[in-house]
Amino acid sequence: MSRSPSDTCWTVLRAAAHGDAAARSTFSRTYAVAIRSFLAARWRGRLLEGEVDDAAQEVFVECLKPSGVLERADEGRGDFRGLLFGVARNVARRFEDRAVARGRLLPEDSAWLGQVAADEPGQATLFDRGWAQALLRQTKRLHRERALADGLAGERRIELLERRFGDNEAIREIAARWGVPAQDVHNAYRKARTEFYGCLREVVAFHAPPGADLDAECRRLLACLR
Amino acid sequence: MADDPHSTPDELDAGLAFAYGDDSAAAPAPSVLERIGEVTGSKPRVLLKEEAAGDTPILKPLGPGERREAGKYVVQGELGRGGVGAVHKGHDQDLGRDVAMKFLHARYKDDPGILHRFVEEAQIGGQLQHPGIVPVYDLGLVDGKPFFTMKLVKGQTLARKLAVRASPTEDRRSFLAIFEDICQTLAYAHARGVVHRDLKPANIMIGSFGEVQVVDWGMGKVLRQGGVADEKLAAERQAQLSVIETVRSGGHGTQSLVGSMMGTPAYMPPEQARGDVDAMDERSDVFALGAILCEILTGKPPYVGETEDVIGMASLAKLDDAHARLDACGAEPEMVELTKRCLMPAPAARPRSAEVVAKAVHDHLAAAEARVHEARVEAAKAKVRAASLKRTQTLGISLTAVIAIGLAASTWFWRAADAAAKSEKEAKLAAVASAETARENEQRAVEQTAVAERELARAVEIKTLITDMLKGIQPEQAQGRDITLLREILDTAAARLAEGAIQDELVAAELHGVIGGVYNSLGLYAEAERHLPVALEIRERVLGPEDELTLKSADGVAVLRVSQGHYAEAEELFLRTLETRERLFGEEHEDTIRSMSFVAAVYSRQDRDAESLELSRRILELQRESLGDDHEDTLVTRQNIASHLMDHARYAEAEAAYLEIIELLEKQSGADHPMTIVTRGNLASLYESMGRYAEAEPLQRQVHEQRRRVLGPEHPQTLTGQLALAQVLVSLGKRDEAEPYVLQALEVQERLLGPDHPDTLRSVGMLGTICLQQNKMAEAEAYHRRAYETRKRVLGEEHGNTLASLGNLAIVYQETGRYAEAEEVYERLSELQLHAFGEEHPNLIGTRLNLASLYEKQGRPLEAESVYHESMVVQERLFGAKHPDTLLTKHKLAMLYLQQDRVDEAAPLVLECWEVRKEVLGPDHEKTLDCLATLARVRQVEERFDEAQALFEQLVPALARVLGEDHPMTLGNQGNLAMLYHQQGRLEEAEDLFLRTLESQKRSIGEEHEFTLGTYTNLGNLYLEMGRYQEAAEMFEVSLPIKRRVLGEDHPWTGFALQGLMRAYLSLGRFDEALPLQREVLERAFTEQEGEDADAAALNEFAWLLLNADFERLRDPERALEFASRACALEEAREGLQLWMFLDTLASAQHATGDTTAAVATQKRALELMPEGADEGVQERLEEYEAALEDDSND
Repeated sequence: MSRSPSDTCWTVLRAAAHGDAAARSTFSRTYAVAIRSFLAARWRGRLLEGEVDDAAQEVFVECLKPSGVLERADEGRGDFRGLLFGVARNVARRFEDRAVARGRLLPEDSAWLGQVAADEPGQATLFDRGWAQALLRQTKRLHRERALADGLAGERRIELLERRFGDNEAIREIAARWGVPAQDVHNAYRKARTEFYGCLREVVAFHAPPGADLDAECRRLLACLR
Repeated sequence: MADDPHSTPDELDAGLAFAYGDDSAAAPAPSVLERIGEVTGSKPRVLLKEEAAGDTPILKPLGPGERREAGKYVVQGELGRGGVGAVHKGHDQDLGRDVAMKFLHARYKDDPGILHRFVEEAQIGGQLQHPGIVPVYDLGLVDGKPFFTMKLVKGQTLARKLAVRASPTEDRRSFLAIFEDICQTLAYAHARGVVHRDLKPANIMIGSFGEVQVVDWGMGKVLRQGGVADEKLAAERQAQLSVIETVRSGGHGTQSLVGSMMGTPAYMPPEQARGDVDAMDERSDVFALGAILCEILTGKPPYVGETEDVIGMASLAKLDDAHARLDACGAEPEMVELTKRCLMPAPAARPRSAEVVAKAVHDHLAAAEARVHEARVEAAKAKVRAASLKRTQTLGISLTAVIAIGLAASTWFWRAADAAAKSEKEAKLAAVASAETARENEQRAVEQTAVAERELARAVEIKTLITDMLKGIQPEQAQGRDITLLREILDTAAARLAEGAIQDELVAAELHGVIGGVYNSLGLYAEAERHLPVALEIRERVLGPEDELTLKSADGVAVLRVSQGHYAEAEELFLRTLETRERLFGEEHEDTIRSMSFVAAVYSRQDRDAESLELSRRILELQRESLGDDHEDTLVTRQNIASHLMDHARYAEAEAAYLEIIELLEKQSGADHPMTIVTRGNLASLYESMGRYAEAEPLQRQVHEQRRRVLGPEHPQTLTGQLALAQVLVSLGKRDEAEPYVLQALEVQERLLGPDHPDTLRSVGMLGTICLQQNKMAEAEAYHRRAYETRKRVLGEEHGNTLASLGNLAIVYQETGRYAEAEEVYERLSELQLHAFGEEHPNLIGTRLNLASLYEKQGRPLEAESVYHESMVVQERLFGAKHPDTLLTKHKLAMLYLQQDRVDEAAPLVLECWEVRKEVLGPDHEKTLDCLATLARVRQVEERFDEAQALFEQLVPALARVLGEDHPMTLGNQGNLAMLYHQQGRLEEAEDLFLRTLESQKRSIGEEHEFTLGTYTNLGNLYLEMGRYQEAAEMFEVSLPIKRRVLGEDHPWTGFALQGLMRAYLSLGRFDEALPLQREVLERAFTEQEGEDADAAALNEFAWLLLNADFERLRDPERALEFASRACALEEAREGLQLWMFLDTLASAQHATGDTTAAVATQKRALELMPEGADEGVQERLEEYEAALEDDSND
């Protein structure tokens, strides 16, 4: 989806709520990762694990149906993440109840369900982590897109981050591999970090409530990864 | 541009690691053995003998963040690395064997094309079963990254074996045999429908038993059936990637590329070089086989040159050079022919598969083998025939046959030959020989040209290698590795250079520069001196004084001069290069700015702060303009300025600057960037300088840990940081914790840097200081002496570091009672430091304070007071009132006041010191306790006994806990507490404590230590009071001669012992022994107390003696009256608390001289001033005088 700089998640949500197909597709793509990872983590190792896709689908239905969550969503009520978590949690509970009603849970799962129900903060953390991961993936896409637009140097910066964080290569090793002074690589590294943070801020701004302290939001989001 | 003022670098790292790192952890396959172990309670374990080939060298150990386990595999270091993956050594814990593990680089784990190909590689390796193909054992997933395991081949690559040949003709047959094996392996693969597509010598492994294996099937293609990769899709994907993104690495066209064109250009058929993947089949591998054969025969692959040129040549099949080389290589014509056929540009013209090539090579080798065999047989036959001929002496053998069997050397035969036939044969031979000579000459010329070219290329490579290798000895590059061998090479290279082994002057200059620079960084300045100036001289002469290389050599010499402490020479050189660069390149050129930095640094070394700061600020301006505010070079300059501020105690400004720089660096370069670490270390040192130890310690620990992680535990910077941490611990009194850090650093430094390196000597000096503080004087002296002697030899006597070592040695002299030696050294040091640094430099202040302390020990209080006072004023102005150094001086001054009974002046100073130190260092810090001890003494002198007792009883256990029970300070204060008990009249408790203290002191610090001597005196006085005169006499008899010898005749303590012994003798009735002592006491009184520095207490004491001398002829009431009057006047003037005692003596003197009226008045006043109940004798004597006065009036 192409965004205008003034877009926020609320403009997309409103468009989706009013049946805009492109907006609905964007909505699903944007939040699918967070919802799936939340559900998969909640049900890991249980029979319900096979129902993650169905449950994720149901979350979207809940959101997009007429008079659904998106129509009721209100910018003034704050962060959309909280709203989505509420929907995902409700859908998850519904699936769990259904499984209990249909006798599709193993005996030991009953105790586990009790724990899940009692562990509201833990579930929120789980969702937040999935949310953070989803936003970081968006950030990475945006960052790659921007950097690659910068030509060869941008490509190098992406490769640099991949080598540094993916392959755990030290800056001096990368410099040696590329046959360039380490200082140049340090400079590129610094620039890549700054660019990445800029993209993160942009992604966070898209989802954050108006007037939010974006740096604080970024910090909170990054902390969720730990 | 956005930045992240609220996110820490660690947080951002977490985000980057998620985005670009391993985010999707997947459980790897578990170990079967673990499962079996869970069931059976034990794990089966068979371990065979290691192969003789030994271990496979690991090129790179695992990084701290890299996963070490992948299911049943333990991942070890990296063996090699390619474009899409890295091969690690691994160990299969279940089967107990080493394996090679190929991991896909994390950055490709989401790339479907590359993922697909990676898995295909594993599947190809898993399905091809041939001795020449490395078997794939397993395919797995760890941290979202796929990997597969395969047989770990121990051996060398064909590339390596080819490279070490002296010439292409060397061992050619063996290489052809290897080549045949490669062809056989490829024939098998082709038969299974697989083409390799990246055949090259680097992908052929020769095992330790000669087994040949073709590796790296990562670019393999399945031709006919099963799992064919979507080549079009892959090609499209690759086409989207840029050359930079996809080139595995730069080089000379012998490394693989991934991208639209896959493979290695130097060995590549034209269809592959053009990216025509559809046209590639078995014959593409045949071309590569031809390329390998070309390298075996001629020493080089078909295409030689820079990567881009090679790609161009490969796509156009420009093989003229290869053909020329093949024609000139001297190999058998059929092999040359085969190579050329394999290298045909059109695939159809090449042998149709590897099998055909294999057969051709096999036939050739077999024929050659047959020829050899035939020759051997013929030789054997000839021998038999020769023997037979010899036996029969017949001439029935033809000339031809004789030549054929090679017996031309037989003179017997030549004599028997037909003369005509001989002439004809000789003519033919001459003609053949002539033709052969011409051909040989031509061939030799070609070969010599090729050899010369190779030699040139090799020379350049060797020079580069040697230069890099020599530089590798530098601590920064060696990064803690053992460099013994490299050091030997360096020394050998230096020796060869000195012998004139290098003819080309400029090459020699370059090597001199490199070698000298390395020696300099190793701290071997004498060795550096033999090279750096030579490099400069050559370049100046050959290139002229303004050439860039000459200027660099001048910088090198100047840096050496700085290391040697020859700052003036260094400055001159730096200024000269700066002036030249400014003129040639302009002020804003980076080389000019670097020159300016050198000049600023040399100003700073000379303490020319204003100039240094001004220049640094100018550099900063230039860097801000040309590089930007947050460029790393700009930040370095800002950091230099901050360090400058710190050195000059402008702590608040320095702190603000460091914090800002750290914030910028962390944001831009990350927390692990070396410069970020250095700056954080500087901040920690700043905190330490400010006395903010509580902040310095954790920061220094954090920085040290970071250095260990990022740079490795033996990196010089890590060791420097370790010493900085040890320094903080020493400052915090945690010497036992600090010592192992320093010892460990020293061990590594001695091993890696050598015994003369500045870093090594810094550790030596620090150990000396720690030993000194631990009262291990002999060790302290040895360490400091070693540091001093080495620095004197390496740096010269007047270098700042040499002087610092000398100062440390003087402290040892002082602490071991060698006062004269110590004083001489301090005075010399003061002179040098005053000259070098100016009068307000901290080093000079330190030396002067040490000298003052020495004055004190020598009983020269006025000189000491003057120095303390001056220093304290300067320190307060420079560092502030709460600075540890200021407090130390203040405390010393207070103690001096206390010793002079100027308790009112001492008390506020001590109280202030104690309060501040409690706040800054904590209540149990040694220095805090030191102040507490002085405060307790103050209260004792003020006769606020209860307070003093409480303080001492708090102090002594704390000292025992912190410093140990036998530490001189613990024992000294234990003695003070005993004295307090004495003053309080708790005589038995006092005796017990004195005796225990004395025993411990004799054991730990010896009888001659001043503290021990003090205890003798105190115990003697106690015995006197207890009426145990014999024991008192024994105490003084032991201590008096020692005091006379150690402290000197004039020392007050010697006088006290004299008086004590005299009193004991008198009390024991040993008058003959007492008389000379009393005379000596009185003589001392007359000489000592006539000057202006009279001591009121001493005057009073002697007045009392003159009144009460046990020997009639020594009594002198008139003189006593004079002394007592002076004592009272002095005490009254300073409002002393002992006035009542002196008035008591004065009244006695007045009474003795007949002025009883005055005596009554004086005594009444004494009684008024006396603390209640202090001395009942005062009242008694008043009554006595009043009675006498009454008697007089009655008379």
